[in-house]
Amino acid sequence: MRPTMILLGIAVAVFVALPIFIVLPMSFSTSPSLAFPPPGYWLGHYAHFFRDPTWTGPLINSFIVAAGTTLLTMLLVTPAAFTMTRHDFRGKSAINVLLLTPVIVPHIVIAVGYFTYFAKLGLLQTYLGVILAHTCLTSPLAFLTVSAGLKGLDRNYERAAQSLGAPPIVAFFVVTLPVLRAAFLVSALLAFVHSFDETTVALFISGRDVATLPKRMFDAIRLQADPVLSVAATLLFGVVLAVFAASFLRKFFKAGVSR
Amino acid sequence: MSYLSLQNLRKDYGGKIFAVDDVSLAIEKGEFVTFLGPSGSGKTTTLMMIAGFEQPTSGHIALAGRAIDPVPPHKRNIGVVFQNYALFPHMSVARNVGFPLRMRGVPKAEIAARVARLLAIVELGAFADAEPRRLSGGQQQRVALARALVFEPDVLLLDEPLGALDKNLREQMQIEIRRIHRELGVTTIYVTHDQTEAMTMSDRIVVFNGGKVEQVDAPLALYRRPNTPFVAGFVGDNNVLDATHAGGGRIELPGVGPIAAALPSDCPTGPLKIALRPESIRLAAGSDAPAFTVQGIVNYGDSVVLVGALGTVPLKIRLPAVAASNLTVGQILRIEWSPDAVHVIGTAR
Repeated sequence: MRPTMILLGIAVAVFVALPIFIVLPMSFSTSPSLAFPPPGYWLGHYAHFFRDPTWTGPLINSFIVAAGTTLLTMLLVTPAAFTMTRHDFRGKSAINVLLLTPVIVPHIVIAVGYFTYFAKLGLLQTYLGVILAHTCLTSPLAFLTVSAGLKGLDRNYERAAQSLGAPPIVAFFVVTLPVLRAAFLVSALLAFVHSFDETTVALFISGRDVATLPKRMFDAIRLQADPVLSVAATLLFGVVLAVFAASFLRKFFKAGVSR
Repeated sequence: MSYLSLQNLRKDYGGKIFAVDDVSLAIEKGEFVTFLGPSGSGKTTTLMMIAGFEQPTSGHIALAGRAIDPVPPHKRNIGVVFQNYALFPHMSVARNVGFPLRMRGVPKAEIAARVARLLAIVELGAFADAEPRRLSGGQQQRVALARALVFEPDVLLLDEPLGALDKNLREQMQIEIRRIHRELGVTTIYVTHDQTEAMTMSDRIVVFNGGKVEQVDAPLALYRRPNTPFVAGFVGDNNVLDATHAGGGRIELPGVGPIAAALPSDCPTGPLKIALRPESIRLAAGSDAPAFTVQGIVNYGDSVVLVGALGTVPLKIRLPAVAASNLTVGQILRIEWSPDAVHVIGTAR
C-alpha cells in the first residue's frame, strides 16, 4: 500500500510541476519559436522581454493592480471579519453567504458582469476598475483567513490594551495586528498572488491601457507563438514563488533567531 | 460618598434572566474587596462593567464622586489583571510593563525608571528583556500585575488571577498580592470562586449568587454570621439545618428534639435555618449526648470529616486526625457542641 501511495504522490507532483519544467527551459531557448526541447540556451528572450515596453508595461501594471488589490482587500476584509466574528445581528448568516459568493459564481460570469457594468461607469481599462474587480475575487479567501485568526484570538489582549490606556484603534494596530500578523500576512499574500495571476477578469476589463501580464500573454499566444511568452510565464511563476518563499523564509529566520 | 460606588447595576443579555441583578456596593479608597461566588454568579460581569468592557443595562458606576458610565475603558484609569495574563506576546516584559506609560505619552526616561521600580516590586528585575512566554505562570502573573499597576490606576481589578496556578504557587501569590496592595495602597477588587482565597486576602468579601449580592462583610464576620443559607454553605464548610424555635430560647431539630443553642434575644419563633460548623462539633464523654451515626469517613490527613446523621438529620463533623483514629463506618458516636456555635441564619449575632 505505502509504495503505491508514494508512487502516486510522485506522479501527481510531476504532473503538477511538469509545465514549469517545460516553460522554464524554453524561456532560455535559442529557438525563435516555442519549441521543446530547446536546441540551445541563451538569454536573448529575456533581453527582448525587458526591452519591449509592450511586455514591461503589463508587468508593471500587474504589480500595481496586485498591490492595489491587496491594500483594498485588507481594508475591506478586516472590519468585516471583526464585525462577523464579534457581533451577532439579524441577517448575519445571509451576509456571510453574500461575502462568499465570489467563490461560488464562475469568474467568467463575474467578468461579463463587470465588463457591462464598468463600461457604463467608465471604469473599463482603468487601474481602479481592475483593482475593484480583483478585490471582489480576492475578498472571500482573505475574509476567511482573517476571520479564522480573529476567532482564535483571545479578546483579553484587546481588553488589556484598552484598560492600559489604548483607544480601540490604537489597540488594534499595536496589539491585535502584531499578535495576528501571521493571519494578516497570509491573507494579504493570497490576495496579492491571486490578483497577480488572475486572467479571466483581466482579459475582459483591463483592455490595452492597463493590461496585466496574463492578459498580455493571452494576446501574444493568439497572434503568434512568441518565445518571449515563456519568459513572461517564468517571471509570473517567479513572482508568485518569491512571495511565498519570502513569507516562509521570514518565519524560518524568525524561528531561528528566537530559539 | 464612597470612592467607588455601584448603584443598582443590572445586566441582561437580551433574555429575561439578569446576569447581574440590582447590585449596589460602596467601596472605600484603598480597600481590598473580593467578589466571591460560583461561576455564573455575576461577579465577573460586574467586574467587566467596572472596567468598562460591558455596558450595564441599567444602573450607575461612580469613581471618586464622578459618574464613569459614559467613559470608555481606555480613559477610566483602571488596571485589570486577567486570569490568562493577556501579556502581549510580541513585546518584552519591560515593554509590556511600559505599555500603559507609552499610551499616556510619559517621557522615555521616566518610563524606564517606573518600569524598573515596578519590576523590582514584583521581583522580576532580572527578566526585563525576556519574552513573556519564556516565563512561568507565576512570573507572567506578576508581570501582568506590574503592568496593571505601573500607571498608578485609581482601581485595580483582578479577575481570578490565580486560577491557572497550582496550589503552592497560588498561596505564594496570595501573599505577594497582599504585600503589593499594602505597599501601594491601591483600591483593589479581586474576583474569585475560591472561598479560602477570599478569606485570607480580603478586607471585605462580597458574596455573589445568581446575579445578586448575598452578603457584604469582613471575612471573619462572614464566616461567623452568614446572613443567608447560601453564604453559610459557600463560605467554609457548614451544616445548614432546618430547625424550629419553640420560644424561650429552645431550638428543636425535627426528629431529634431540643439541642444546645444560645439564641439572640431578637430571634423570632417558628421555623428557621441554623448553621453549625463541622469543626465546632466534638465527641462527647457522657452517654446522654445526641447520637450520631457514622456513614462515611473522609480523611484529609490533618483532619477527618465524618459524614453521617444526627437522628434523621444529615450532618458533617470535622475532627482532628488524632481524635478520629479508631472510627469505623456504622459506629454510633455521642457528640456535643458549645451552645454559641449555633448560628441562626439571618440574625445579627
